[in-house]
Amino acid sequence: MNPNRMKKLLLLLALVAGALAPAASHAQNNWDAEQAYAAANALVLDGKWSEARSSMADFATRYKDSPRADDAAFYACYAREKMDTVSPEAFTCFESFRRTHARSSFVDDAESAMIRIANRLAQAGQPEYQARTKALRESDDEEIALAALYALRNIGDAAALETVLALYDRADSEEVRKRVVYVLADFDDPALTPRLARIATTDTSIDVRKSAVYAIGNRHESGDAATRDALMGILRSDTDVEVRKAALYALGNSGDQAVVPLLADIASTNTNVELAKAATYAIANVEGDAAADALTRILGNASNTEVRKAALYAIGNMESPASIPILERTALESTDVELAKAATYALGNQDSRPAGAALARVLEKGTSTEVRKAALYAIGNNDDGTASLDILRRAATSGSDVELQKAAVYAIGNRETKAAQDALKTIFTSTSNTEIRRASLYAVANQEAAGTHDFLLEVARGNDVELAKTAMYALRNTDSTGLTDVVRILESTPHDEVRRAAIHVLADAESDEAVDALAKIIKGDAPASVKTAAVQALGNIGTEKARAVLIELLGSKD
Amino acid sequence: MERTRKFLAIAVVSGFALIAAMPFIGIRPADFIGYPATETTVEVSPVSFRGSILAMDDPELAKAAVYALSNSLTDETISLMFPLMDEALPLEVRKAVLYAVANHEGDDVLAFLRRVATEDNEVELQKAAVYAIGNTDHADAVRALVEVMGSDADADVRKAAVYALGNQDSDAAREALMGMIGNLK
Repeated sequence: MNPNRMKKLLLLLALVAGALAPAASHAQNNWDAEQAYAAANALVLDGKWSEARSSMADFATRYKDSPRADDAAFYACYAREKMDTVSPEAFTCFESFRRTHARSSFVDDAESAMIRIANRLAQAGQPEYQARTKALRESDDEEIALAALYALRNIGDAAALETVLALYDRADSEEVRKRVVYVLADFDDPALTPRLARIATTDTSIDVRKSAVYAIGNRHESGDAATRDALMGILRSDTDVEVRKAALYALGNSGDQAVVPLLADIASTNTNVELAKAATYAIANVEGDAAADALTRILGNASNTEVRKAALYAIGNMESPASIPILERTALESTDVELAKAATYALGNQDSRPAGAALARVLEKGTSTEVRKAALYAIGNNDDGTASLDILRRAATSGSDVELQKAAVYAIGNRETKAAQDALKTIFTSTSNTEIRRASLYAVANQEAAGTHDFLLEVARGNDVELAKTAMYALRNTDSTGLTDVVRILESTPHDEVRRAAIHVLADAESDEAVDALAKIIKGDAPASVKTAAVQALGNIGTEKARAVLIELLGSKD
Repeated sequence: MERTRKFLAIAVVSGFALIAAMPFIGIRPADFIGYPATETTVEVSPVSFRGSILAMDDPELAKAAVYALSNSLTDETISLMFPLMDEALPLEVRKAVLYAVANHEGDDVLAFLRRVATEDNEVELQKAAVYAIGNTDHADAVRALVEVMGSDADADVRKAAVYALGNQDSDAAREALMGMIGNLK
């Protein structure tokens, strides 16, 4: 055989093997594992414990990298226990499972099983296994005692409350104190609020203090002065910021209008930005006119940009028509670009005609490209139909800022309408700027509207190599029907870059329709890069016909 | 065909259930075979599904039989069904036995439920027994729950006893729970 021919065949062999082998082997392995697990699981469901145990153990060994390996290992032990409930072997099986699969979701079940079997073994005269579960038992005992705490809450009388409070006073464990505080929230005793407030400011653990705040918050109903005063007291204290933030949110969630002035004061004047922002969001949670007014004042007066931005987002989320002029003014006049953009997006969140009109003005008069671009995207997301489409079309075809024009094109592309597609085609044909034309092509390709495919094919047949290539690659984003046209372009275009792009489209389609054309390319005199792409495409297509061509190429003599 | 088979099977099982229940509902075989009634004691054996393919192959039918039997038994005679709990029956059938027994009252029933709660091999059944104890009006129910809470049973079973105690309106339950949290530090 000709040495060059031999080299080519070896190259082909490597490409085919690389394209087909790993994926096929992986898929087969997964399939086998699924089948094996299903069969073993059926044995468990049928209560055929001996066979189930063998099958599950076999699965856990053979498919140890499978996500079901721990399930199988657990069920092997479970089946062993079912075969003999007083079995040291079942005990050690679960013990080993717990060690080997420490992160499995079955660990709790395995531990329960160990305790259960150890108890039975002890009754049968083998107490040594109980010693091996001592730590687990102690953990169980604590869990049960905590369950008793919740059960006492259901009883809820004065004696139960006294017991729970005494537990708080003597508990060293942070977790226990946290649970006590959680339980206290449900006792219906007004005297508890000051007690919880004291815990919120004096407990050594921040988590417990926060839990106490949440407990007060859960007891708080709008207009309840005692809990409101308790939360405000925590807010004014010098306790940890996290605890005070929890108090802020508890106040905000109460919907109590009386808390707005205090929250507004913290938002505008507190030097701790986190706390000031939390106060701002808490005001937004209160809702109502007083909250909207307070947020507007914070937007105008707060010294920190982050806090003003928080106020902006909060106003935007409230979707109050009264906020539109404030947002527009901020978008147009703020010297802080981030703030101006935040105002613009907040307008976009409102999704109303007045907000759309405000966005159009921001697009027209905005002082920075960034802000105008934000306005474009916001308009693109606005559902206000034709009016906003006209604005976007004008922005895409006028002006000298290519970035802005491209942003307008992509904003149009986000709309899945015939009118949007027509607008994109008009932009493509009316502009001479390659970047904008290319953006239009991609925007069209991202749409699922009818006619997309034909439009892209038309461009792909054109003489501009860059655009033709772009159109061809854009075709990959569409549901590729009409492969015949792509094959024709592949056979007729003189441009290798376009041919390679066409081959990639055909590879993605995974259809026999392209196989003959690809075979012709491989056997012809195209450059190596095009032939390699064609071979890879056959590997991707992966059908019988494609494989036959590859085998024929590899097996052909001379 | 399948429906006919099921119907016949139900009829057979129900027939046996009725015969088993006759002495307790005041019907004597002699009443309907023409002989003058005489006061005789009819011996009834404890119920068993041992060797019954039906109970293994058709749990739905077996459950129906369990409920039919329990309806025909009284608080005094429900203990005839207790041995079923120890037979190698499908879990759902054993659960039906538990529920059927739990619909009755009395010392025997409470003792049965306490035994299942602390000794059965199935955690699910143990928990069901605990809840059943919690729902009885028996004077010793709280004591039984306290026993389960302090037993060697699975943690989930003991927790079920704790929650059942939380729903009891009783000083003894409250004291037991307060004693339990005394273990926390």
